[in-house]
Amino acid sequence: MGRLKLAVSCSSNMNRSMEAHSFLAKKGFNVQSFGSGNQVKLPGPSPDRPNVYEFNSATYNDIYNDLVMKDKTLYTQNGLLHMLDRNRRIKESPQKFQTCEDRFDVIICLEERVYDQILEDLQTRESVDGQSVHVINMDIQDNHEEATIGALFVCDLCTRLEACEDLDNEIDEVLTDFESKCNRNILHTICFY
Amino acid sequence: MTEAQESVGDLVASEIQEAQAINNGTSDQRLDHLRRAQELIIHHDPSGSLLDNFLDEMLEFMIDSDAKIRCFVVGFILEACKKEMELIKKMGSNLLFMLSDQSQNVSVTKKVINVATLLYPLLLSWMSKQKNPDQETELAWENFAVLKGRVLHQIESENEGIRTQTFKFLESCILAQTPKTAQSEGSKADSMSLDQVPRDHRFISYRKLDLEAKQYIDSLLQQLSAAHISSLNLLTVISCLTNIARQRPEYMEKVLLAFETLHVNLPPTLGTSQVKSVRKELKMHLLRLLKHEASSPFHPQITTLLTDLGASQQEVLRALPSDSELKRRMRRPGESADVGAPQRKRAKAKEASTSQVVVEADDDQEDDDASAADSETKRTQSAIDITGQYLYDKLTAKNVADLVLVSMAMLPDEMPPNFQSSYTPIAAAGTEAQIRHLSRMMATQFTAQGVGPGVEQGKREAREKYLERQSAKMEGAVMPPTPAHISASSGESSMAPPPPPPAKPPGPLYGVQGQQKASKRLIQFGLAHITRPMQPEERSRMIQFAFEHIINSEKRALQGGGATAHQKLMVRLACRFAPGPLTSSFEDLLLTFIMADQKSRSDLAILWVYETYAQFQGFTQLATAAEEQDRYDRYGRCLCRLLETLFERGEHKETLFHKILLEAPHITPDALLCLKRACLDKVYGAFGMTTLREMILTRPRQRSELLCVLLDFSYYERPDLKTQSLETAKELFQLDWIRPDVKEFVGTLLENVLRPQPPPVLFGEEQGRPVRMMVWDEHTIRACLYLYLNLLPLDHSLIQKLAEVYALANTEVKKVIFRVLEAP
Repeated sequence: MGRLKLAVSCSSNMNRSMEAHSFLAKKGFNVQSFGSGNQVKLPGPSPDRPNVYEFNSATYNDIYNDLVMKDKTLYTQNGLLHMLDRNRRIKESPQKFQTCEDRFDVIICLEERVYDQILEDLQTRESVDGQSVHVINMDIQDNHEEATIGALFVCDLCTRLEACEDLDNEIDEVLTDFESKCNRNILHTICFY
Repeated sequence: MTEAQESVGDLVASEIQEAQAINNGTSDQRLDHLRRAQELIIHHDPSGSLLDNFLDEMLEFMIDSDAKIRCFVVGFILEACKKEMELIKKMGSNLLFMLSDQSQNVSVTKKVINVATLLYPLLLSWMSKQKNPDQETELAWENFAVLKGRVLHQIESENEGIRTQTFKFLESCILAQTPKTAQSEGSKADSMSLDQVPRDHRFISYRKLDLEAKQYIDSLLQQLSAAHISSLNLLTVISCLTNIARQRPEYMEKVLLAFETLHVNLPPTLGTSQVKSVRKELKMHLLRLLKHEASSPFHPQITTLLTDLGASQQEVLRALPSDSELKRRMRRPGESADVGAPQRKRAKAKEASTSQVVVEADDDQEDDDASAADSETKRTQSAIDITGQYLYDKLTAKNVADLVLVSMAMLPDEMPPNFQSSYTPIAAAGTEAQIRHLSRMMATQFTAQGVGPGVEQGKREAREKYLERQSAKMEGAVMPPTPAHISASSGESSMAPPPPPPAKPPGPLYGVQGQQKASKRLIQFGLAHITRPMQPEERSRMIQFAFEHIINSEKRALQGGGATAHQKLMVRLACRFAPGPLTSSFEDLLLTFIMADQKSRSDLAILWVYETYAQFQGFTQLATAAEEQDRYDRYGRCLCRLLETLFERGEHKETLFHKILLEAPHITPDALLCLKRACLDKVYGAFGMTTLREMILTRPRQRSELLCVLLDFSYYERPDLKTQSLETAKELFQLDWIRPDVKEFVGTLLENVLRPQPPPVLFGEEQGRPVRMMVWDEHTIRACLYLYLNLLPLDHSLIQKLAEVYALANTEVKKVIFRVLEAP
């Protein structure tokens, strides 16, 4: 029927969503990625000292340089710089979902908390024209391995969704199949713009 | 058109051409052209002339083979209507056409429904503002009504996407067709609500829209309890209902109740994660609902439900508005972690009083909350509450243990996914609050199944109410309520069987308590019971009053144009009752009334006479069938009373007296006597005579009697009477049809002379000869002869008679005759 407009989101738009974004974009999907948290958070030298940046102001490049400046070794070791490098090749800066005005057909959230935040946002928006959007959640742990595996699953899911003739009618079935295949719990709802 | 406009127009034309022309181009490219064209037409041209020009071209794409293009056209219709609402007149049928899209392409159908959703409030708003809507507008409205109907039909569609859109459409209709209240969440400033529709619109019926909205809401609520609804649609319905509850808080209670029922009755077709999604969504909506000001009476309910759904204390606290009593109490240390704590206090307060509790200004906040919660509980004395209370009493430790043991035998081997996902370990098991909660949950299940004391109570009450209404209707004590009345006063429940569905509380919308309901019933019963038969005196007194009242309202009757009816009524009332004390009083009243103003009420008198006559003759059949003689008597009485009263009042000179005599159908002997008396009157006797004469002329049947009366006067001593009588007799004698009678009378009179003694009829006060004499004397003989002599010049054949008499008479008589004859 035409390309679905996809969106993937995690909380900082750094790891999981960008991994999925990268995969999906390579496969030719029409996809954008977002973060739904309040700020962009990256692990710092210790768990209680994260690196915090603002959405839509700091670009990946800026963050990269900032981390390099702070502690190049550490961040190379834990793979953050590699990640940021990949990210800046895909797009310029982290995007906050709540401030984005684009419309999508399917939004895939990669953590339940993200799912809650996005739903909260969509439901508190003033309804404009009643166009529907499916919001799906699939839990992916926030580390590199899981991000990759998760991205593969997301890709699979999107392929199946695109193959539907009538998305609204068939999505239930698709999701149930998918769930049983990847053995992960999927949350699913519908929102209206 | 200005140059700029021209160029824009050209652009548009070229875009459209491109779109038309590329037959083998991709639909996306064509769509791009069309989008550009739309942009130009709608947004770049304030005058709307481009729209007029190119409307038809754009609409041609309606039958394009590509579904996307067709979808686009539907969207274009929306944009065009937003810009220029008048166009709906032309495009209503287009929409309808596209709904029944030939290739049945789902996306087109969905788009049409979507457009209808957005268009309906705008349309309603525009139409209700029209002061003088023309024919086309009305037609457009009807077209849209058809569209609406078709869309609503799609609620049963097999396609889930279409159903989703239909639910949104329902939501839009409900919001547009219900009135806004002060507590409505302020959405867009221009959103439509029913209070913007004028009540006297030519073709939009306020009442109909209101009723429809109520039906839609019920329909939506029913979806929640449907067994096979898909997870997506369930979610849609939940979000629609929450939206409606926020914008129309009067439905909040209903919605919450439905959610409660849903929570324990999730459709069995949902998978684990779907159940999880639904619960999550429900939780989210409820948390948001807590913030709404109209939800504060329901906070305990909502918080309980939230806890069931897995919300933590923190989340709930955060969601509660800062001034909430509940929040303050929950924050206080030392309370149990279970949010259902108010129920404990509630139980105590409940036992203490049974009537509505006023929130007292108490220092202790706990009691405040308890009583507030208490009155809230009392207010929604629903079936669920009653059953819940019943169950609570029954849930002793022993019973619960037994129940668990019994149900363990029925448990499946594996925990079903439904249960697993919704299972939250019960905190504070065994506390009173938890038992209450459990009993409430069970009560919900019971009520949903239609069993349990609450439901039965509801059924009983509904049945009783129905019976009362029926009996009250019989007694005429209660007016059957109009549909508007029913829907206004008893929103969800109706008074007629079958009893209302168990999910909804059976009480009226304004939340009357059980006790108040009982007293209300009593009042209705009372009316039927306290009426006892009236005492006869009371009855007759009332009847009397009624009659007097009727009589006295003559003026009003005249003004109202019901004069004839009024007269008829009075006469009939006076005449038709059986003879008795009541009747005579009626007659008296009527008589007095007539006498009071004879001139104008003469018709009434005549009517009365005629009515009694008609009864006598049997023209009017009476329920109280009297003997013919009785009826005749009645008639006679009526006539005589009138005449006598008139005579006694000295008004026999008035026209009424004579009118009655002239117009009465039959003159009774008594009436004749009256007349005679009238004639004898010294002053006004002449009138009487005239009447008599008239009567003789006009009444053939009674002529002889009347003649007798008249001619009797001829031997009276009083000169005026005599003269009159003689004159009249002379006159009458000249009429052929009267002559024989007169002759006969004369003959009889003459023969009287032959008798040995003067006949008694000659004597008496009236005749002027008070003393009866035994012997003929001159006067008496003369008396007999007056008439004869008078008539003699007119008819010479009378001489013969005289000769005969003369021959047979004795000497005295002969002498008198001679003497009389000599005087010419």
